[in-house]
This record gives sequence, structure tokens and C-alpha cells, in this order.
Amino acid sequence: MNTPKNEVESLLAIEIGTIHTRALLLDLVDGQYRFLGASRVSSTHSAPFYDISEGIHQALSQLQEMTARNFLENSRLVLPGRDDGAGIDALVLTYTAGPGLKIAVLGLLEDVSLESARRLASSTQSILVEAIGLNDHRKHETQVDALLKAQPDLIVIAGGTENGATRSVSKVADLVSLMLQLTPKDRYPEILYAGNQAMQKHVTEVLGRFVDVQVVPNVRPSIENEVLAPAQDLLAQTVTRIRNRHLGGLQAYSSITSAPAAPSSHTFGRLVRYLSQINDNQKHVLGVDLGASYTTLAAAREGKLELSVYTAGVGAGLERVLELTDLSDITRWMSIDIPEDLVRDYLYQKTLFPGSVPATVETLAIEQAVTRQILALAIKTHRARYNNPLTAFEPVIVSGSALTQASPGAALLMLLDGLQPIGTTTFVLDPYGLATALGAAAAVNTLIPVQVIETNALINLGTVISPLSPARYGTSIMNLRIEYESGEEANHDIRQGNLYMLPVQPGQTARIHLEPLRGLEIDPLQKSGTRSFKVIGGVCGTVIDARGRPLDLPGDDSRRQDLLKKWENAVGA
Amino acid sequence: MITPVTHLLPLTHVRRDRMLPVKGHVLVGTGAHVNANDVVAEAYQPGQHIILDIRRILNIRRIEDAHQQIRYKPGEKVEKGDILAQINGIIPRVVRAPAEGRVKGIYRGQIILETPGSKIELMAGISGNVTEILPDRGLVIEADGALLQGVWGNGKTGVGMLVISATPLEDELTRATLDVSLRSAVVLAGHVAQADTLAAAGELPVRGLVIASMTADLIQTAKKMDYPIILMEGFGRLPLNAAAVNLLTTNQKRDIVLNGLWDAERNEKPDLFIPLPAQGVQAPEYAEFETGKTVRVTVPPFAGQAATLIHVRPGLTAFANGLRASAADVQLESNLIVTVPLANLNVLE
Repeated sequence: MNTPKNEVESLLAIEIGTIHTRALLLDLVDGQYRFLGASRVSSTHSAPFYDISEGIHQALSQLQEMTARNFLENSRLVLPGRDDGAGIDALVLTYTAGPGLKIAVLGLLEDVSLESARRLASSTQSILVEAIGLNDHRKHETQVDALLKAQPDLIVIAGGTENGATRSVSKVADLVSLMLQLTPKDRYPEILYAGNQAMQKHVTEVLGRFVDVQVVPNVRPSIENEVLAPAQDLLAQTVTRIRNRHLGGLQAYSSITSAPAAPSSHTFGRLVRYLSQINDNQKHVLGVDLGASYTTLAAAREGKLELSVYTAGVGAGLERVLELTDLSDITRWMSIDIPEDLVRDYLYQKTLFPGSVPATVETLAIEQAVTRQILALAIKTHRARYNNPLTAFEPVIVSGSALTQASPGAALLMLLDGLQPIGTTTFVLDPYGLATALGAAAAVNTLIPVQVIETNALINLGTVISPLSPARYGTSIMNLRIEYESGEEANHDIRQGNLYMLPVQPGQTARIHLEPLRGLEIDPLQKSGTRSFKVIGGVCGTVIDARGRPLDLPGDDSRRQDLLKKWENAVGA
Repeated sequence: MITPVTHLLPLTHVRRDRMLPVKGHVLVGTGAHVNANDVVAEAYQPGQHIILDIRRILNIRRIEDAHQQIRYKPGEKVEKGDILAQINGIIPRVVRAPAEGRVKGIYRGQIILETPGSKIELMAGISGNVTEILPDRGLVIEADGALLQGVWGNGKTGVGMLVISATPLEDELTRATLDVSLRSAVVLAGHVAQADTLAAAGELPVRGLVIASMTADLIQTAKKMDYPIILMEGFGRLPLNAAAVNLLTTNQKRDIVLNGLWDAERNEKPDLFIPLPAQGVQAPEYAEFETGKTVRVTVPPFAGQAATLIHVRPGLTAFANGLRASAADVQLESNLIVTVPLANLNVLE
């Protein structure tokens, strides 16, 4: 007789993406958790299926074939796993599929509680449909009508530091109460209260007549201090509760997962936060997940996470990118000449067929150019939102097929151009969406991400050193000597405006010695005397990006294209 | 590998949900026959709200006391100038309605007045029989006819007689080629590249525009037009696939219903429906990529071209730009055989 096992050995992670559904298998091998395989099929949350189950079934069938394991019996998932090897012990599920949640935020001071509420809302796939604070001078009834018109799925109320304002918070609650009074019962939004805890009882009393109010610790307990993590955890649960109503099949799967189903951005952020706790704490760990509709940026240092989800991506999300961007900001990244009209037409066509892939040199150039622009927009918005200059990262974890399915050199160059990091940075590609899965798996067993992250499921692109120099293009800015494991050495004259790929084999170590020649800052967050680095080779070796910051592209098309080609050739893009 | 189908069907049976955005009244019953332009349901869209803080205006301390002075109950209509609340004394004070409306609620000493809103009328959008009523919300209409799914619509709906423009379908439609014979018709044309063409079609006026493709810089202009526009292939200069040409040509001069509403997030497409006096069967919504299937290439190169699938290649195929993807060999209408990523193909049936 087949009996269920007691402990979690195997774990299946499912991600329902806008375009693809993935299934990833993790299991114990020789006492260590390992990533064993992943499958990817088209998602089925939209027409004609309107149910995620079909996509999950296909993904699991494919994974069964790839791994020679049986998860399904009579088309049903065997959970928990049995001693005969059938089934799996734990299941986690994350999702990005579905439209962004409409969120309205209400707070007191524009740049304090309202800003924290905005940051909270932007940490999940959302559209900010209304924001009301003390500085909003619209009439009371106009604010009520604005909320009614916005039809939010969720209202976030913040405001009042601990032992701070109470009367203003009460007014905000009254405003929401009025809005609810005028809203049909079947359209009540969810309410999340993240303000002064002294007002918790009052707010739940006033609004509890209409809906259950979710209460979380104050996101702004003091003017100087912001605490988003507990609110983000509850927000993730609230988002899933709302998604359960719209995403066919999610509720059924949510009932059998070993941890609550969660938005992908939430678990992606959780993994990045974890990495920041075990990492060199001088720099932020940066996670970039570039999807078809959304781009997630997660930056964390010493366990403090800044998470942002942008409505911009390389599929349907292109529409938003094209609204925010001059076409010339995209075409300037192309080393071949393609008329702007054709670029615009192609990108809008891609919004209609977000799952399509670039099949020619020209269409690939367009997609890689827009990828750079999305990265640049995302990091710029993130910096402004968190008031964080965020220029140095270690490492950068990169998900999303536009980056992970490109050639390693092309992926690295897109990341360098889009993010423009300063100092030493290691870039790691996540081709299977493992970061999101591990963030979800951490809720089941914290050992899983610890052990799996150390395996070779992620691709180390390489370490990049990006010094800052005021020197003119072509001027020598430093001498570089590299010592390989074999004992061999090589010397390089590093000139401003150039990219250099040093051939350090993947996994091999080398020591780099730098001798700056003039006014050069190698890494703003390293000790000023640091001139020597140990590097581990990636698939792009080790790269010196001496192009300066911000990157200055020539205005002349011909010169610009020549320079871009030169950089592409330097990293084998 | 299964994939959603893009429908180009000479005869099928369709089932359409028509839903009000807010609660309202359904005006027809099950079994009724409706025409595309019939109003089948209506709802009331609330107007703006005016909040009158009676307690504060009349300087009353207790909420309960304020409520006692209010002369209207929730739901009652008021005219501009009506006395809503009054407090007596040496100098009586009153609160008058600042506008016509209805008392929506009385809350914590405040009157919430709702000004007159607007009526929303829901058209059938398709000629057929009502088969289901969803009380207060909408209805289901079923019909038989030809169905063609497009890829983009400007959000408008309409109905009219299908007329094929004299301009060859390979050419650009311009103001000069929009002649008076196209007035009040749904016009089938090839390509539009100028905002002036869309304006001219509106001035004529046409009842709708079905075009193979349009340049993407016209999207905002097209959305502003008050007649429906449906793109069958997309943005850029793309040819209309031969299967659609054949189907539309055989149905010219017939009434055609244009549904320019769509939702990319839900993979719901805009479509054209031509009611026919015959009984169709519902077509499958998805298919396998199999040899012999008619497919359409969705993005460049060869975008908008219909083809016959010859075979699906095993494993991943490397393309000239270095990309590796699941792919199929397809034979274009020109007989040219090309390899296209499966992700760039739609099954047409």
C-alpha cells in the first residue's frame, strides 16, 4: 500500500504568468535540496479557457516527461507524495496573471503617510486610481465622487504617526465610510488600515459596518521611520483573496498549497530580502523581473526591502512604455538603422501578440532596445519613489525571458545600459524563474532557498567593474593586471568610453589589480584604498565597463551606431 | 501543444453575453428576437454627490438632534431650493437644496444628495435570439452566421451593410478614395496611414471601417472616432490574410455587426459577425498545431500572411538572430516555405 510521507522532501512550485505557466521541481538529493527541472507552457487564465488549471495540467505533464516522475494520477495531483515516489510533498503557487489591482490610497501628509501608502500599493501589481491626503483641496463630495468613480478593488488608509494625529485619521475614515454608503454592496472594495494604531478601533468600527477592515501595523510609526514589511505580507494575502474572485481555478489550487498562494512580486521580493541578509551589507541586492505586463524591482540591504512593481513590460506592458517614452529614447539603443515608424508599429503589434518572439535581427534589436528603456524607467522611478540613489548593487538577480533567453553578452549589455551600475557588480541570470519559486518555498521550509541558491540553477554572467572617471573618451584611466589561477598574468590599458571582457572561465577565480591614473573612483561603496579584487568568472568572463556614468551616446546616428556596435562586439552580444 | 484559435468561420453559432456596467433593468425576455441596434437593457448612472453637513450648518451639537431637523428621507426627490432641514428659534435657520436631486443617504448629521445622473442604454450588438436573462445585469443572445475575429478595435460597436472599397486591398485608403458610394456602409479596406482618412470616413459618414492594418501613430485618433474601426491584422503595413478576404468578399452587401470591444489581458478579440439564415454549430476555441492547419503569422517577418502548416519541428530551432524557439515550417500563399516560431503563429479556423 502506498502511504503518504511525513516530511517535505519534494516541492513543486507553480507560477501563473501573463504569458507562460511554469512548474519547477525541487527535491532532496543526498540530503540537500536541489532544483531538478522546470517546464513552461502557455497560460490559460484568459480566453478561451478562463481557468489556470489547464495550463497547470499541461505544465505538470511536461515536467513528468522531463523528470520521469509522476505527479498526476487520473489527472489529479498526488499530494502529499507517497513512498513509491509518486506525487510531491508540498506545493506553492505564485501568479502575475490578471489585470493590475485598482488601489486607492488615503493618508495625511503628502510626503509622509500618503507616500508610504503609495509605496505599499506599488509593491504589488496595481494601478493607483486615486490618492487623497490633507493637501488635497477638492471639496469633500468631490473626493467621495472621485473614489466612487475610481471603483477601487482595495483602499489603503494610512496616516498618523504612533501617538500622533487622530482627528485627521477619523476624517479619512468618515470619507471612506461615505463612499461605502454610496457603493452597491456587491462592489465594496477591500479596506486595509495601516495608520496610527490608536485609531484602529475607531476605524474598524466606522468602516466595519460595511466591510471587514484588515489592520496592519502602522506603515509610518514616526516621521523618520517607515515599516512596510508587515503591511506587504497582508497586502499579498488581500491581493490573492481578490484574485481568487477573478482568476479561474486559483481558489481551488489555493486550497491545496502548502503556503498561501501569493503574487510573484511578493515572493521574488522575499528572496531578495533573504539574499541581502546573507550578503555583503554595504550594497543593495537587486532583483529585476522583467515580465510581459509588469516589471518588478526588489532592492534590499540588511533585510530591508524596497519593492516596486511597474506597469511596464515587454508584452502588453509596452503600451505604457510607449506612453511614457519618446520613441527616440528607444531607437537610440539600436546599432542598426530602423525607421521609427516601423519600430512603433512593431512594438504596438507586440502588445497584441505579447507571447510572440523576435525572429529577425531587426525585431530582436527593437526588443532589446525597449528592454533597456524599461530597465532605465524602472530604476529611475524606483529611485524617486524610495528617495534612494541606488547606484551600486551586489549581486543583481535577473528574471524574465527578454533577458534570460538573450545571448549572455546581449543580456549583460542590456542590463549595464539600462541599470548603469557603479562599482563592482555581479549579474546572475535566473532562466527558470527560480527566485520567485524559492521565495515562495521559503514559507514552507527556510532551508530550501538556502540550499538551492547555492546550486548551479542560476547562471553567473560575471562580475562587472564600472569605475567613474571624468576623463575624455579614449584617455587611459587605469592600468589593470589580472592574475589567473594558472599563474598566468595579463596587463590591460583601460581607456575611457570602452568595454572590456576579460577571459576568466566560468567558476574560475582570478585576482584583478587596478592602478588608477587620474581622478578615478573605482567603487563608491568600497574603501578608497581598495585596488585589488578577487573575481569569479561568469559566462561573460569579467567585464570592465569604462564607459562612464551616465552613458553618453553621440547625437550623430552614424557615430552612435558605430559605438554601440563596438560595445556589442566587446561583450560578444 | 494547444493554442487558442482565431475564428474565420463562414457559418457558426455564437453566444454573446451583454452586460450592464451597473445594476439595471433588462427590457426583453427569454425567446425574444432582437436586432443589433435594439436597446435590450438600461441602467441609471448616478450623478454627482453633494454633502450637506446639517449639524455644522445649523450649529446642532448632537447627531440625533440634527437628524430630527431633516425633512426628507433617503430615496426622496428634492427640487432646487427645497428646504431640507430647519431649526426654529428667534431667527429660524434653514438648509435648502442647492440642486435638484435625490436624498441618497443621511449619515452622521449629513445629507448626501445625488444629482440626476444619466441613463445607460445597452444595445443588443448582434441580431439573434435571447436565450438567457441575468436579472438586473444583462442577457445572453445566440445567433448564427459568419464570424471573423480581428486583432484590435477602437472600442465602438455598430452595424451596417458591408461594402468593399474600390481601392485594392493592397493599397492605402485615403480621403480621395473614400467616395460617396461608401456613405452609411461598413467599409472593408486595406491600409490606413493618415489621420485625415479616418476623419474623412467620419464625415462621409461610414457606419464602420474594417481594415487589414493601420499605422500605430493613428491609435489615439482612431479611438476618438465615433464609428467602429476593427483591424484584422494589426499595426504596420500588413496584408489582409486570404482566408478573411474570401470570407468577406462572399458576404459583401450583407449586414455586418462590428464589435470593436476587446480585452487584450483576457485574450478577447474584436470581431465581425454576419447574420445568416442558416444553422451553424459552435466552433472549437482551441486547436493543436498540426500539419495541414491554416495558420497566420502574427509579427514580422511575414506578418498578416496566412499559411499552411507543413510540420512542427522537433526540439528548438535556431534563428538567424541567435534565438532558439519551438518552430514550424509553413507554406505561405506565395508557396514560399519558411520557418516561423510557434509563438508567432495563430491557428485560423
